[in-house]
Amino acid sequence: MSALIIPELIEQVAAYLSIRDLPQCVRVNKTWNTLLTPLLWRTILPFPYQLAEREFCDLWIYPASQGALFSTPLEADCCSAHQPPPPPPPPAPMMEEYYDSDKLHSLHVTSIDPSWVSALAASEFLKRLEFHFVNTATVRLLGTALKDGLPHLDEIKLYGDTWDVKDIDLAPKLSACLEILASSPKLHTFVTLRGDPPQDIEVPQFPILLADEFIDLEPLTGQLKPWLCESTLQNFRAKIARIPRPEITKTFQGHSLQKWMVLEEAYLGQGQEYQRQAYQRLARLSRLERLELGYEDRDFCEECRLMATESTVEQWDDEHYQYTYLEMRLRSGWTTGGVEGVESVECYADDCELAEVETDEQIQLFC
Amino acid sequence: MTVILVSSDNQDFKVDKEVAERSILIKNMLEDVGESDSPIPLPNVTSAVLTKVIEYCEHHRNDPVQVPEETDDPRKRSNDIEEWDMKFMQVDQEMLFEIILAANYLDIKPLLDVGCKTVANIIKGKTPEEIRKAFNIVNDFTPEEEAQIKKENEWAEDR
Repeated sequence: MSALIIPELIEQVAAYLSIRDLPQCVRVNKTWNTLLTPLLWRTILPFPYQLAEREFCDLWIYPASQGALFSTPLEADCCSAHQPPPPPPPPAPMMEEYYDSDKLHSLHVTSIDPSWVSALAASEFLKRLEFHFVNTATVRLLGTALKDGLPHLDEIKLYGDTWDVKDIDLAPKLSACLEILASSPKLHTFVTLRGDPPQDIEVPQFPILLADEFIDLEPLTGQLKPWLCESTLQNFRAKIARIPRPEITKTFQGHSLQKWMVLEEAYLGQGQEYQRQAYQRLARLSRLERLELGYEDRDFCEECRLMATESTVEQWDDEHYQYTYLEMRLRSGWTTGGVEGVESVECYADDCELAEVETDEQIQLFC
Repeated sequence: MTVILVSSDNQDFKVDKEVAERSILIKNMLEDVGESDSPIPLPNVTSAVLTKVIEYCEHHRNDPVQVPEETDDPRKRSNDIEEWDMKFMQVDQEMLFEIILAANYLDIKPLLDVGCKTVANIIKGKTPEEIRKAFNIVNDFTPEEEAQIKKENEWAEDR
């Protein structure tokens, strides 16, 4: 009989095993498996070690094959904390820790698991948060972690890079972000659009916000809920969706509206109401400097339109697209009231012809 | 000043108090009973093991007292073993585990650490089957269960 069936002894020994040995050890027998599996999984993610107590200021965690993460501490180099994210993420090292005397203030990650919630919520020094390849579970956990806000958080970027994931699948999870907007007193940047359009040719699918949640009404009074970031948010780049477009009442796939066509809009004018409230919400962001909404690759759309046969036009104009994005349009009631400080506006609709005309008008308004 | 330690097989070991106090258990006992010549019984330790433990304590009698480490992060620990300790640990496996258990019982942290490092070094680089063979551990998984566990943790292999 071996002494290595005594749990305390196994645990003592395990403290000196590296992550390379743990996958073998959890297969030895049931006792080892029970005792060591938590250690293996805990080793991969740096949690539940308290983020706030770690001695690094900038943490990068990249995705790798099958989600494995591995730690490679680097030499002290606090300057690197400000270098731009390297696209695409390199296969290794998966995790780099930039050491500094400061506490952690910048975190770049992919997916997170429930063990991050309390760690993130306790990261009071965290200033920048950047998520790549976000998925539903991650954003939901993020929302839970940050629902009470972080005192120093001033920048959130969420990127969903997957072509396979439809916007609409990602939408519900981003509602968690709005809790963050509502509870972050220092937030100046909120971005869910990648790249710097329109220079970027490849346009991945972006996570979107649902219009309902962006408007964020107080259920009792019907008034807009005040957000703590209202007087700090300067850079807002996101796609807001699920606003029924008013024009849908006139045409449907290029044809007159037929009686049998069921529209999402519950009553006529609902679309305008949505947009009006969304504009009110935007108008409350008094420090806004850069606004970018509903970006689509306009050149690509336009090209399709020019070369289109009748069927492809329908495809671009069908129900899904009609209902998709918030369009910043003068004729639907958008004014510059409350957002005088805006220096850069980029708003795109799928209906490119209309959007172009209006973009000219908007440019005149803002210049 | 010397103290007398009595092993489980009733052998007396006369050692310097300074040496005996490398064991926190004995140190606390001595502090509790005060000045006393009465022998200290160690019913969990055989004379063979106690001989080894005393040898270790004699060699390390002048080491600074180890401060409990704040960080429990296993990745921050080193598996390096001093040359003398390494030679000291070159014993058969039964004795190795006896020493570890005695170090645990007597609360001699540095000895416990050296013992665990030695075992960890044996485990390193081995397959599950080799680990079982090395330590005479019975595999109580069904082949299906083992395959499932292998699959679940596959992502962490070759890292």
